[in-house]
Amino acid sequence: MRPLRDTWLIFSIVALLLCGVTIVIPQIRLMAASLFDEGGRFTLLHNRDGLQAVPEMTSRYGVAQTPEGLAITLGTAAGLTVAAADDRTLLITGTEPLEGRRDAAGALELAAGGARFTLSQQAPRTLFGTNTLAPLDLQPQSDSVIRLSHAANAYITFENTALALSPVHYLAFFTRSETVSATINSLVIALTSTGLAAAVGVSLAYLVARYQIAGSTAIVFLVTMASVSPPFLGAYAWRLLLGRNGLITTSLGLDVSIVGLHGVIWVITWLVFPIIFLLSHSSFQSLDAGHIEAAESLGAAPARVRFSIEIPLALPGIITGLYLATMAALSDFGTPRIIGLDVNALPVLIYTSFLSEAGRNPALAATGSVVLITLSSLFLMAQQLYLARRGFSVVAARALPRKRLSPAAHALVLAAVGLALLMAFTPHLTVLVSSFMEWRVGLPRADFTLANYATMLRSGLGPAWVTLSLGLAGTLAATLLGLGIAYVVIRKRYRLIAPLLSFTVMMPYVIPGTVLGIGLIMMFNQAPVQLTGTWFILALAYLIRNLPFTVKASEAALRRVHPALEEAALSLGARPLRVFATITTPLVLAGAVTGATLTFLHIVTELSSTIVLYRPPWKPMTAVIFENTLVDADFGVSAAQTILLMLIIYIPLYFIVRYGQIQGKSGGS
Amino acid sequence: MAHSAIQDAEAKGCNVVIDGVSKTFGQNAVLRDISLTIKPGEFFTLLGPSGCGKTTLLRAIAGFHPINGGRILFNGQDVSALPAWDRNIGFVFQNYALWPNKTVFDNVAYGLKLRKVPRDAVAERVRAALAQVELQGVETRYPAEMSGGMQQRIALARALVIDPPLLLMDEPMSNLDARLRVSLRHEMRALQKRLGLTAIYVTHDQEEALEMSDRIAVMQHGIVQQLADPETIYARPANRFVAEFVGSANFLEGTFDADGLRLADGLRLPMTDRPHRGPGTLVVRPEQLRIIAAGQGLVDAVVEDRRYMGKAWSHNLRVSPSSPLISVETRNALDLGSRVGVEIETVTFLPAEA
Repeated sequence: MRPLRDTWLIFSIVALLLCGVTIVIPQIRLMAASLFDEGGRFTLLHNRDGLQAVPEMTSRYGVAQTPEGLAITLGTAAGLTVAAADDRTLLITGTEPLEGRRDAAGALELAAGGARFTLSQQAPRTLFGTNTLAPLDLQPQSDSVIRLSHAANAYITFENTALALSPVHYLAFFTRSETVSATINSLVIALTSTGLAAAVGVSLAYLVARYQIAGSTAIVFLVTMASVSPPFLGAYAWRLLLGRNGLITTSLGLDVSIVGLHGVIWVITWLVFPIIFLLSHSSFQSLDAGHIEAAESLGAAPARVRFSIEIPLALPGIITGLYLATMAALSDFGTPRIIGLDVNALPVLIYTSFLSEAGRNPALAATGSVVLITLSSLFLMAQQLYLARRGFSVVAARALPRKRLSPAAHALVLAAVGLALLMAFTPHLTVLVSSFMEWRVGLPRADFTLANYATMLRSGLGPAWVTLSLGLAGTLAATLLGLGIAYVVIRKRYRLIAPLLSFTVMMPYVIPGTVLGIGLIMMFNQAPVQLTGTWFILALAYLIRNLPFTVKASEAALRRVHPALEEAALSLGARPLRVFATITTPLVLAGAVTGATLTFLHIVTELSSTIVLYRPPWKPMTAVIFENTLVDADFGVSAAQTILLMLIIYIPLYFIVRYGQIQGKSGGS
Repeated sequence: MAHSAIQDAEAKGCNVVIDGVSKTFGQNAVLRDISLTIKPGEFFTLLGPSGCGKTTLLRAIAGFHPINGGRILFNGQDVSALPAWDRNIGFVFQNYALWPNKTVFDNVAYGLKLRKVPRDAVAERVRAALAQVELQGVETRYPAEMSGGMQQRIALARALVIDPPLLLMDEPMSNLDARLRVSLRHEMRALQKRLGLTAIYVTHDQEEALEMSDRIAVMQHGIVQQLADPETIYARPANRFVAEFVGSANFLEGTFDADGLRLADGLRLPMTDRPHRGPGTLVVRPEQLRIIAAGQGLVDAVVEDRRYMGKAWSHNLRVSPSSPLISVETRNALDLGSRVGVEIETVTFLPAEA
């Protein structure tokens, strides 16, 4: 078959190009930005008060006052000394030979050892002056001394424009206390909260899956609900309750605050608990009765069966849950930003160094991004290494009978589950209650009111429409593209292209949203494809961020479709595209719909890439709510907006769970 | 269209020529230069153990994967470059491959809808195709609601409804229970003869192959070991592999000369009326041996062990302590340890390859 006639090959190439442009190239550029030393510059002001440095116009170079003049240093290496000779001349002394010349464009250049500076000056003209400024000029005095003449009262900028491969950004990153503490904080947050959540999640999941617990279906549904709540909701609500002026702290007169590292850990623990619970629960549920009966028949007591058979067999699922939780905790931006305050975490550091108006430092952002991706890749590698050695998945041939509990134990389990659910839903309840309360100067009053909702409606539902339109478009695009890519990977298996596509498409799995957003900005902030600040760049970010999930969901569904089902249609005379449309797609639809729902929920709750990418008027609800909570604006309206967002989340989730139950009852194949 | 040309060339049943076909998967040669001709209206079976290349050959004929060398001709037309969807074949899969999300009607009607058959004609032809496989009133049901046997009939109806001149079947009965398999064999063979189409059938079940086929190609290691009608295959196997794979047999290694066969351990069978000469293997089916009184046969043997098989008793006899066991089937049980005479009715002698 000629390649150009093969529609799937063309599709794979287009998909690969799209992934290359949106995922690979931006990440390579980020990596490059962290590895290249951009040279730096320093600016000196020479006026009647003498010679002084201008810190606002200086980067990377250190300027210090010494008796001999201003000492210019780069890192630890001593470089130049600049001293005033008279009011229009400077004497520059170098530790290495100096040389002055003009480049092709006529700009003055100073070569000092390996570094080359382009010199420029800015000087005030006289009030009515039309006379031209005295030009910059260099006259060598000796090998290492050169005289610079300039205009009076001039700002003289020495700019080193050379790019050089150097590890300085990494050296700086791992020596500056701010960045080191951000890295350590991120690791502490990710590991501690995953550990705490695992202790609660795995044990509760075991109890609910293996014992007869009243309302276990409802419990699983509630945890599923909790697993898709907006990521910043917890931080916001817990601060409302336990912050310095929180509802509970104030009313009880306590002098404690949840703000700080402990608060971040506490909030993220309850944020990731549902993920661990759900994956562990489904692992424990899919245990095969035969495996356990085999152990029992060999004389193993229940406790022994639990630790030697049940938990090891469920471990691959539990480990996957732990990995997903660690990733969520590591890349969470909203929680440390809202509740951390002075606690720096990597995603926040990256965001602020990339976007904040003061102290913008793209190289630091790039370096932080690479460090963060490295950390998450290490976690992924650990998980993959573990799973590679235990490449089994248990599919229950025969479901396990659930064991009975004594009434007291049953009550105890229910109480524990109830407590965990209460913690997981505290944010939702807090927001629901506070949305109906009247707020005055940041404090609530116990009056029921609908004013918050009225205010929200008056200020316009624009963000809701942005969120909805992005959610629908992103879901549709990610689902269709994911299905096509899964088909190429599972069925077509083109040499080189298919594995490459499969690898590229999974890359966003380890790229935190903040980093992905920064990469996209670097890629699309100039012609020919200027997308920054548009609806499309948000849609694009959501699309590639969710592709791993839709591809995996479709791949799993596709693996359950026997190739003979497609060949049967081929033998009856259907062409490949027709087979895909009339046979394959309907068969994988159930799986694809599950993936699509998850994608929709991810998109409408997405904060970390949104906050980097959005520009008004394309401002999704998450960005609106997040900013309102940051500036301590009207809590009531924020709460009302959050309730609206939760409606957008939970209504589709409810229908999909219902759909799943109906599908489940009618039986699969 | 390509398939209409094939259809017109012969009223029914398609002539299939496999001309020097080879196929490799990576380094692994699965088909090695296979050539054979399948006559119109023939029930042709590819028989062999798993991994022998029989399914690969069938799928190459269907066009599911390209071949690396040779040609495949339908009624004289080279279809090697034609994709599966243009070959106009019926294919029945081992796992039925019924679409679980479609009703029985939609499964069977799929090929007709592709051929733009008018709606009322579709209904009529689907009903007729289901009637052919003796199913009625199942159109609105889903495959999962039906038994394996019924699913396989539907799969057959789906392949037959488009009136293909060639029906390819890949171990279609291996997932059915033994009793159903036996009754379906007869039915499938009768249907194929009634419709007059060419059928190529892949199986590893020698009983199935012997009972259904006009001709059988026994395959091993990507090569056709023997191509013949069932009787020849069974009674005169071309080599030891065919003799072993089809039915059971005793293999006696030895050398023929004017005085008969001298076995490897020195024992002599005085078979003087045979034309065979030189070293080789004597192939004797268990039912080709006759038990008579001791001292009156070719050789005497001791009954070492016996098993009741239902239709007969199977005995293991030993001629001398160093000679191999000989398997014999008789209607009545022989006493363990008794000495009996053995007479050979018919044999096949496979001369050792030079």
